[in-house]
Amino acid sequence: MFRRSWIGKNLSKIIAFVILLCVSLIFLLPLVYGVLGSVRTYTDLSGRPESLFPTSPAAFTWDGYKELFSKTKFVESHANEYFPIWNWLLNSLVVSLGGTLVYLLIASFAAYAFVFLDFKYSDKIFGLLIATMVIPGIVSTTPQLINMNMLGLYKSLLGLIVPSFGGVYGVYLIRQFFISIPKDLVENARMDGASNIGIFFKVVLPLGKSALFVQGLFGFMAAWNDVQWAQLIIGAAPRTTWTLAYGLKVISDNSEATESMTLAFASAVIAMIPIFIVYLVAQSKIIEGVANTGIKR
Amino acid sequence: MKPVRTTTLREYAFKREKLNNRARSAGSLAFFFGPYFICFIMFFAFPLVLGLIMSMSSFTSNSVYPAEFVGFSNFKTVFTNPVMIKDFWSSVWYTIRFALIIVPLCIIIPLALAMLINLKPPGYKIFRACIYLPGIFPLTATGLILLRMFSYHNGFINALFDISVDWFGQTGTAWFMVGLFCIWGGIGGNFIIFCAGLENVDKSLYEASGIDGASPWKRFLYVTLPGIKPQLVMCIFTSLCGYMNLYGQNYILLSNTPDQDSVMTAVFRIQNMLLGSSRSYGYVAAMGIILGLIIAAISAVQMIATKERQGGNKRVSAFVDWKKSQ
Repeated sequence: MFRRSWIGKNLSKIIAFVILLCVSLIFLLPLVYGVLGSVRTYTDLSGRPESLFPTSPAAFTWDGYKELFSKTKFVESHANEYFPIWNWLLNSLVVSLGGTLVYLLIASFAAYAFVFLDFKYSDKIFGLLIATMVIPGIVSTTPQLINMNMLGLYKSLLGLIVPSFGGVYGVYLIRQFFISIPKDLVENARMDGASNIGIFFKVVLPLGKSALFVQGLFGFMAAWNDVQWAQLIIGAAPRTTWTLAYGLKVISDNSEATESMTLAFASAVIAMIPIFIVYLVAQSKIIEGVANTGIKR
Repeated sequence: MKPVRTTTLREYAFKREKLNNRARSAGSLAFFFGPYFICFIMFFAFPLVLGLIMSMSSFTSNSVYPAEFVGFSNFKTVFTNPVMIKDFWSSVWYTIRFALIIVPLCIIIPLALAMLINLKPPGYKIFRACIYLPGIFPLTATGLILLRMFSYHNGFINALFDISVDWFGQTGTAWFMVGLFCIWGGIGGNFIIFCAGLENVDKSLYEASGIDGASPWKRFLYVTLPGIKPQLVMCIFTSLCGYMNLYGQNYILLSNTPDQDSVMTAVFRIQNMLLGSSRSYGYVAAMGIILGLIIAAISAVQMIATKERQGGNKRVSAFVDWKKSQ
């Protein structure tokens, strides 16, 4: 009796649990396959392709990683297998972390101006900025490339970074958070003779830091993962100027012909680790950020 | 004489302070708003204007600077030239066709999953994290894994089910793989948004409808869907715009598909022309503007179609409301 009623009461929960478990496993499967593939020998991967795991202790290897980090020198005869991965990691870090931090500063300054320095036409200018958000990005892709060319930033990492500085969404998001800060706090600080810079760093920034954090997280992930713009700006540059996400494409294209699947999986894992760490540390913030603001990637 | 003098002094001090204040506030405005303003002009507004100029210019083979003003002839070529019609417009059509299939899937699947999450089965937070996970990684990394997993020779899927399908080699299955990639790595955002939306639907409405004896389907139609309408509208809008710009998935998965023309999206075409050596910047800029207008038109239709009829509401404010509404 008790048992049946317990099941009856929780039937929908049990069904949901089972379905979600299956879906989660399917969603994780490729990731697991990739991570485990990075520690399997090529003979094992191609000989027992139906297996998810290394099929024997002998099939387990770190060679993928070792090889990946040993192909960092240019060799004429193996020009296709030149993967300066340390450069790529560093470049990715500079682009995503550096670019995001600078944009956060610029955007939060602008948001501060919109909220706390009631200047003339501030509402109209802000409305204009919002209106530009409906313009699809593809319209400016071509001219932006030419713009970078004119500024001499073609084939350089700066060309990857600076276009995001003009972004509207971050300013919008941070402004929305700043608006919720009580104006009295700022007025009181001003009465006490604090300068705007002081107010910004001592009053507004500590209160609005969660907005900056969310914007920063998504900015970081977008820059780390970017391939499309990277292909245009640094695709024709020497390999040492590439980012990791873009370099992976070449490794991927190269892996079938050269039977270097283990190395390819290893490089994918290396590219995923920093994002995974960010996700682990800030998971609740990321999910909250998506839920509250609608940023997706 | 004396009173007059004091007033002038006071007035003078007052005026001086006002001037000082104004100078100071102009200074802080320049300090705070200046950097962003310059960046906005340089990296946002200027490219837009430049794009317009480029789309109406011809280019010489070895320069990135517009050579000659040619009016609307680039646009005319894009619309009438047979090669353009074959290349560009077919890829626009492929993009629209794919979007029409994938957007409903990218709404229905995450919505269904979010409703399951909303039942709060044990471990639902872990499930939520797992389903969101694939979307956070670089497309090149997840795409590389999919490529190997579905590889024709010695691929995991082919071996597991003992089949030999050339997943990336034929046009049909290639698009199927792109769809799979989009669902696996792309529904996370919509899914999380729906989860949050469902959480905020008024629970008492469910109870009331339960007392009234409403069937689960009716409850879904009349309580759940209206309850998450803002999220629904926003997700349809962003997914549609996103998939009209489809590029990465095709580029990463389908570089080795023999019939490249049949798997090219519109953005893919534009990207290829930019990377190529032909330097046809005028046409590409025109294509970008045309594609942008198509996307804007589609999203405008979608905005009107899903908006409740309220006369005189400005489109821009409607857009802002969506962005605000979680």
